[in-house]
This record gives sequence, C-alpha cells and structure tokens, in this order.
Amino acid sequence: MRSEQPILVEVESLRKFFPVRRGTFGFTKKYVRAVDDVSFVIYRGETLGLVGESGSGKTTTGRLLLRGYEPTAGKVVYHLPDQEALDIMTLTKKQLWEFRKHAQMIFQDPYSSLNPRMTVRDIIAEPLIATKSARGEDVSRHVIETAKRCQLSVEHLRRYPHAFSGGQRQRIGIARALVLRPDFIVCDEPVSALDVSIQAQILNLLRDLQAEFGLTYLFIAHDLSVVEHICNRVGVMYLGNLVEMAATQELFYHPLHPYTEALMSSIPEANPKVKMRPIKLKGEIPSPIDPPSGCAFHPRCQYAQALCAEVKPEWRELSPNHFVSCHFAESLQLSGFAG
Amino acid sequence: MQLNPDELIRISNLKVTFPLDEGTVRALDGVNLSIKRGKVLGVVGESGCGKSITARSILRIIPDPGKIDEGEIWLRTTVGSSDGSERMVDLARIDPNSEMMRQIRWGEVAMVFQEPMTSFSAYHTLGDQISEALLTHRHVSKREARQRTIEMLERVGIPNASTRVNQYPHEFSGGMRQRAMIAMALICNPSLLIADEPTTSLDVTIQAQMLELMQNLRQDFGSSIMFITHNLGVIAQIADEVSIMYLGKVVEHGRVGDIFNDPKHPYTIDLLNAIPKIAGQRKDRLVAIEGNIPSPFERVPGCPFHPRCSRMIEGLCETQAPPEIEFGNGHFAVCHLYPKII
Repeated sequence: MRSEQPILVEVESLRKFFPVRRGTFGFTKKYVRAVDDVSFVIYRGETLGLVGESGSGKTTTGRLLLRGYEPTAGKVVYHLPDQEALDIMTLTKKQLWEFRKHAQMIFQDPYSSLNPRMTVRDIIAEPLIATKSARGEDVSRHVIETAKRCQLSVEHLRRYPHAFSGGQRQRIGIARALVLRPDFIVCDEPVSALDVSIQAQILNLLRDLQAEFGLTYLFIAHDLSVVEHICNRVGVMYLGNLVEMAATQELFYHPLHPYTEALMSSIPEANPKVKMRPIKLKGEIPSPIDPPSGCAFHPRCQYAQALCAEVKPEWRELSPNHFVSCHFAESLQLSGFAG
Repeated sequence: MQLNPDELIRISNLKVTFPLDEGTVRALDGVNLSIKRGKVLGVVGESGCGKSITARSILRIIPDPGKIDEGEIWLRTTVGSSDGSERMVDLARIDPNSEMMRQIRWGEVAMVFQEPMTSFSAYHTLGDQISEALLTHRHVSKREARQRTIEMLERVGIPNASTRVNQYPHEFSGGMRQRAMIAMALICNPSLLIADEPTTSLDVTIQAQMLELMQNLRQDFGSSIMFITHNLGVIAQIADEVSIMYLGKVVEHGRVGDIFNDPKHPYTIDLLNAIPKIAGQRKDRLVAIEGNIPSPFERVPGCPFHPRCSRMIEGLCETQAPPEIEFGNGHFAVCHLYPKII
C-alpha cells in the first residue's frame, strides 16, 4: 500500500568518509566511514525513524540529507510537490538557499542550538531573512503566527533563550524550523534531552504540526519506545550501514536482522511484569575507521557463519517494503519485541 | 530513632537548601525514604526534583553552598565499632570531613556517577584509581589490592582485565568505563550502592547489559542499591520498591508492582501515561502533563504538584500541605484526593 505513496526523498548509495590522521606524526591518512553506502526512500507525509547506537551514522545521514555535509559519494534526490526531481548534491550555493525553504532541521540539544545573544523573535525570524522569504511587516506576522502554533506566547518573543526551560527551548527550535513552512524536517533526537512530562508535549506537538502542514519527518532517536510511538517506518543503522528497514510494527515484532533482534530484546518496557531478556552482543562496537570485513556486524553476531566474514551482504527487499542486509535473513527465526 | 530489622538506611524529613545570590533554593523539602537490606530502591523524578541531592546528602558531598537544614539520615554501619557489631549512625549529624564519614564513604556507601566520561581522573590508570579505594579502606597490601582489582574488573565483564588494569580511562569506551565505575564502587563490598543515572548516557544494548550486571552483583554481594533515574522502563526492570519525587519531596512510594499497576498520586499516574509504551494500546496522542516544572526559587504553597494537577481540589490543594495516606504493603501517597482512613 505504501509503495503507491509518492516519494519525497530518494537516497542512493550515500557515503560520507571523514579523514583522520593516524600513526607516527599523523603521516598515515585514514577515514572514518561514518556513512557507508546507504540507500532508501522517504515517502511524502510519513515519519521515518532512524535508530542505532551512538556512532552508527544516524546524525551524519540526517545532515547529508540536507547537504549539511558534502557527501563522499551518492545522490539525494528530492521530489518536491509541483517541481522537477532535484538532486541537491548538484545545486549551486544560490540554489541551495532556495532549497532550504523546503527542508529544515530540529536539533537535539535545546541549550546549545539557540544563539544566546539573539531574542526568540530574531531566532525564529532568521530563516525568513536568510532565505529572503519575507520582509518588514511580513516577517513579524510569520514569526507570531508560527510561535503561536508552537504554543509560545507573544511575550516570549522579546526574551532571550536563557529565560526558557528545555521544553520551551525545543518549541523555539521547532518554530525556527517551521517558519518557512518546509515540506521536510530532519528531527535529530528532538526529545532525548527533555524530561518525561515535557517529552510527551513535544511529541504531541510534532504530530499535530505534521497533520496540519502535511510535513514529512526523518526522526533520529535512540529511545525505541519513542520511535515506535511516532514513526510509520523505521530504519536500523549499524556502523555506517543500514541493516534493516520496515514498517514500525513489522520491524518491532518480526525483525529480520540479528542486530535488530538484539535491539528489540534490550528495550526496558515500563511494565514490571514484562521482564526483558536481552541478547548479549559479543564484544563492542568496532571502530568505523577499520570496520570488519564482510558484514560489519559479523564479529558480534551469534548466527554468524564463514560467509559473513567474507562477503558484504546485499541490501535487498525480502518482502514488500521490508529491506534487510543479511545473508541468512530467510532462514533465521528471529524473535521480535516480547511485550 | 530505631531502624526496622530489615532496613539499611532511613532518611526522614531531610531538608537541604542552597543559599544563592538570587534567592534560596529549597532542593530537598522534607524527603522521607528508606532502603531495605539487599533490595533495590528506584528513585524516579524529573530534573530538579532533588534525586541527586538526596544521594549526595547520604555521602555528605552536597556541592557548595548547599547545606542540610533539618532531618535525619540513619544508616546501619559497622564503622567505628571495635568488635564489628552494627550500630546506627545519623549521617546528617556527623562532620562531613570526619574520619568516620571518610570510612563510611566508599567503605560502606559507594556511588556510581552519571557521567562515566568525566568521573575518572585522566592522569591515573584505572587500576590505580580502583585499588586506591581498597588501600584507603581495607588493610591490604598493594599487590593484593591489584589482584582484587583485576578480579573485580573481570567480575564486571571487562575482557583482558590483567592488561586493561594498566590502561587510562580514555582507552575505554563509554560502556566499559561504566563497568569500571561499577567495579570501583563495589571493590570494598559496600552495604549500599548508589547509582545516579548509571545508564542514561549508554546505548540500549549496553544499558541492558549493565542492568543485568547490577542484578547479578546484587545477588552475589548482597548490597542494597539506590537506583536513581528518570527512565520508568529501567525502573520497572530493576527495582523492588519505587519512590517518586517531585520538587524536593517524595510524593509516592510503594512496591514496583503497586506503583505501575495501581498508582495513586496524580503525578505518578500522569508520568506513566506520558511515556510511550510499546506493548500498550496504540494511541495517537500521549497524555502530556501540562505546564512546566516551576522555578526552583519559588516553592509553591500547598501541594507542590497542584499547578499542573488535573485533579486539583480548589481551596485545598493550593493552601494546605497534603497528608500522607497509606494504602497497605508500604504503599503511600502524599495527596488530598484520598480519605484519611482506608
């Protein structure tokens, strides 16, 4: 059913390597393979979740989608409404400014992502002015309208960020992303720094805004309960690779990749009757500078066989809209979330 | 004051204030809690509710200029007795710099801090830092201390412990550093282990391993654990009893099953509704708690939760401090909603 939905973003073989200097006097040049060949699509109007451990490349992927970094290789094509397909990696600086009206970002840390020397009004107005989307009176009108929509009051606009709590700061960050009325927002861990009672307010707000403005989200998070709540589909990343992607319920209850299975078994459910039985992963997450040969997960995988160390598994669609990269996805009997 | 036979520590009516230039912050406003021997008490609350200050009060390491104004912290301890017999000590009343307090700190009560990245000294090997605790508190030779450090590192699941004992903190990953932190806390076999958000900065798979590790260690060493977190999922998995804190007060306490299945205080009820649950019914919206946590400089009169409470009784909740109502099995809530006698 989903495959008939229009595609908004198409990501093709995306790679990003960061150079690091290693060895004696830093003579040896090596690369952190932060994102290593990732392909997927985001449908219009959906919320696509991206989960994985720290250092798995979630944030880098999110930033690449907005060309916050220049990719090492690969394409990101946007199919914006009433426009031709747009490969953002080929855009000039000027075209990129135009594109930014359509895609925005919300950051994790509401304390460091707002300039402490700007008033809330100026923070929210900045995208309008930077992209020359509005002038004079119009700026104020847009700012007030957006602030109200994010449940900030007009008095708040004169103040500076330090006067606000974490939850209100995150509303300011959302208003800043929303003021251009974008089609697509990358939400990078938008609620991980917030208290439980505030987290619910922000999740509800994101959901309401999505319904009202027809937004599409890429939702990066590590709290799997939050991801399950808000996402239509979820992708799992491990060491710069996507290992699985499927509709949320399918992924949680019928995972096809051993790493997803381990993640699902480690969710602490808020119910003392449901005791978790975590699958122990061997060893630690390897360095993305020297990733393991073959399947990046094989040194920690309890099902690994000789083939896994040699051949990198293909990213394939095993059943409609259920993608996985594992040699043995068909034969493994994996268990999903137990609750 | 007499502790019950199964109690290890009891805090009653603890008040801690921070006199600052901007005004006085009443960080703890009459905290009552108790931890039983060999049990895990989960302490849940949002930022600013005083959970970390409660922990630091026990160790008497409240950051400046905070001070204990009132209240008692009774601990059962063998420190200071010549024949190894137990006695009760009020930690609130002894000098934080006294020899007695130094002995209790890490000898009897140890703590795992929130930030595994910053809690170790960068200039000393992990082995030296862990064995220092042993050399300070137990009569052991350097060689024996080193041997026990290696054993403890193995016990918490650090591979190649005999080589890693000579490494520096930066050579360890976050999860491994947190394991080392737990090894350091347990090296003197404390009767109480305080864990302040020990898994918050960790990934879920590592978090699950840490929780399992702490469960096993509790069985092996018989320590009581005070587990501080804002993650209700973690609490459901590890705690025997739970205390819910809000603005410097414990508003509800009970066994973990009672708290999750039959919460009484509106704050607890709202918190449980506010978290997304996977196994629960699909809901489009979460039930958010309206408003924000009030500024720490102004403590609200009456019940601290009344400005955000959906079941506030006008004329009562904003003027009078609510009573403590007991529901049986040690389950109580501090709230006006319930009749005095049940």
